[in-house]
Amino acid sequence: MSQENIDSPAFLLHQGITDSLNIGILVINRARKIIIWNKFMETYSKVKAKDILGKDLYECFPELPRPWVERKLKSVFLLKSHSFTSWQQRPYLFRFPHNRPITGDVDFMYQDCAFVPISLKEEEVGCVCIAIFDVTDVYIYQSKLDEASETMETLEKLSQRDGLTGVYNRRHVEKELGARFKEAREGGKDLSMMIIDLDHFKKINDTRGHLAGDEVLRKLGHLLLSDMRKEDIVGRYGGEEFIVVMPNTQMGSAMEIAEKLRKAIENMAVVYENEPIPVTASIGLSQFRHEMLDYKEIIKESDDGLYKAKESGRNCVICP
Amino acid sequence: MSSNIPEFTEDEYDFLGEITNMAMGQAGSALAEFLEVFVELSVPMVKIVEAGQIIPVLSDMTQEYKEVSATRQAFYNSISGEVISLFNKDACVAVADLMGYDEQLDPAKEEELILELSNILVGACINGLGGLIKTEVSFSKPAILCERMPIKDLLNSVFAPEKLNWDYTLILKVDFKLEEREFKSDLLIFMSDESIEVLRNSSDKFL
Repeated sequence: MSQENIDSPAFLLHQGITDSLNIGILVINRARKIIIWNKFMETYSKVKAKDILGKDLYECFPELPRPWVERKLKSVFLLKSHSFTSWQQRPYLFRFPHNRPITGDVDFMYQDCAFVPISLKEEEVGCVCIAIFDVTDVYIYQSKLDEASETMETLEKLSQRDGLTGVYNRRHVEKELGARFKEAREGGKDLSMMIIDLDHFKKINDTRGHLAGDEVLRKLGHLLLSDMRKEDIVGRYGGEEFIVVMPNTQMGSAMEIAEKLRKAIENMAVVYENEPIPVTASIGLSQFRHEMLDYKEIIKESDDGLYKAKESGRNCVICP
Repeated sequence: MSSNIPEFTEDEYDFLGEITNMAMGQAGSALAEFLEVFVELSVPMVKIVEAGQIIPVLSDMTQEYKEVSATRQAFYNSISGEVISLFNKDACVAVADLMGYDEQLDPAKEEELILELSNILVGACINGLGGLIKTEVSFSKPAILCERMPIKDLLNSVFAPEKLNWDYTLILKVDFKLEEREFKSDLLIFMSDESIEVLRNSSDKFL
């Protein structure tokens, strides 16, 4: 603490309080000399007040980011207003050890600082008090929160996606279709959808093995994700069945999209163990009509189309 | 609800406009001295707004902005309230050199700079206001509200109807521009019940 008025009772009381705070208190004057250095500062810096009081701040602590500290001090002296720093932008002012050696997983004490103007005489700011708050716990809670929300995000994504193909899983695509169906019914929007089924997929599995079959599914998943429009919702409906929901799309353009997709699948190069696997698909197409009361009806109609496409020799698009 | 809204007389509005203007002038010259650059000020706005009207009123006040970075900071004592500081999206880059940031502005430095700037503007303005009505004011540390966000999205998220647990607020709006730089900042100062009374009483003394 300060060297002056050391015997005044009021001063001793203030000193007692300042020293018992769990906050670092450092006061410097305009000449950048240290006037007060409380117990907290002594404890964590291992530097005794008696050794540095009256000395130059930067000579005592050459590791301080001087230009930055000066800028802060200048604004406080000149503008006679508080200034703050937060651990989020600047983790610490003094590199102190922290209080969580066992449970912390941190290297130093995270600090928030307040630079407070102190007027000794009227008007003139004579000193600046720098208060240092230990916010290591805040840092730790924040990191845990960030971690948890990242995990939640990943989980949420994973729970919507089909692991093998990367397109949405059946549960998610049905949920989306349900929502679009409601929009179409209530908001008068167009809605089309298609079901895509690979032709003779069982034969590929039987003759080339299940890993070859998986490769075909993966390729088709990629093709669908890259070829369909951004607003389309692509999902895997069952074993070798995929579904594409096309919001705001009338039958005419849906037909074009489906036909283009059929050709793209036919031309898709799938190679497994250096041997190509020829692939084609049949597609059933349907469009929302007002007499449909449930989204399952629009799926049913696509399914009927798919059945007819298989009947008429496969590798074609049919809208029943 | 609307019966609770305090009515200001024209004289009281004038008084509020006048002290805000003076506080802004002091803030402007402090800023000019600190940055060593000329600061342009315009006429402040004073308005009492009901919660339900806050988004349209603020949208109207902040038309000049598309994307903004923003901070919030509280002040307290005999007058208390919150200040939202808005900056045009490239404000940081425009004043980096004046604030002594010659290094490349990484995201943490940019945040630090914007917090520093708003702290200076808010401190100067509110201290000015406090000085004029002879009261001391304390400040909480400023926090980032958003960086480069459409102003519309900022207003909608900060003033989402379910979050508003007050009926009306006094808004003082002041703005700062820097000569020959792409820098623009608006401070929106919000005060409620008791502070409005404090201001009104001090205006009684002046008038």
